[in-house]
Amino acid sequence: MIDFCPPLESGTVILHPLKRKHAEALFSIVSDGELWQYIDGSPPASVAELRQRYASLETRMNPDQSEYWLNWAIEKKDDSRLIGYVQATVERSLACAQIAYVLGVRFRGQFLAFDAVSLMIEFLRSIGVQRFSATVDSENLRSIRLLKRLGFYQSQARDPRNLEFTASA
Amino acid sequence: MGEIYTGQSPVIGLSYAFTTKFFLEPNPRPNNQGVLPDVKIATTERDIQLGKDPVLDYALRLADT
Repeated sequence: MIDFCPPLESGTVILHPLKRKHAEALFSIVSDGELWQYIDGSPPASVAELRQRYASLETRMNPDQSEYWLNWAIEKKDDSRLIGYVQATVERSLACAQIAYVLGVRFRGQFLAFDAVSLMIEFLRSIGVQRFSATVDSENLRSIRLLKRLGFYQSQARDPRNLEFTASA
Repeated sequence: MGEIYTGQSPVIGLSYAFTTKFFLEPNPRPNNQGVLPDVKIATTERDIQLGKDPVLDYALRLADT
């Protein structure tokens, strides 16, 4: 049986299957207001709230079991700090994975997001995922650059504010 | 299902129960489904990470209209 959310490792980062125990270390990262500039949502108000969010994701599947819900905490290898997370919502048929990523503001510019997302995509390809997609705010140029470096191309956007990018396996 | 009466025989002490009504719905639903919602709102993995509650958001929008 395939483990859809195993630990993964590259030269610079380790991806750990996201669990509620990671909430304490990730709280300062994901509660940073600057991070939410382009994200439609609300930062967690407390570690307890973040722990609850992560606990809900530990099922690794949605309630009707039509999607795999995969999340990994990103550990920076040189100092063992958690610096963000990567996420994939994978159709059960493996036809498509919608990906997302959040990296702490102070860890930008070191290619760590590229390394972490590449590692996740490489794993998803290895288990048979055929296509990848991502939605990004049209003003989030840093994220758009990352997607282009990863080989994504812009597809038809239904909403001009939220651009859609896709890549094939 | 019904309106149940219980009692005990005063002579031999035997307990008994019997129903006086049998309730039926005009359009019985299948078992184990309860009341199905008119609108199904799904919460996504991303919603959970971002602390969004699409069910509550839909209800609030509905209340506003």
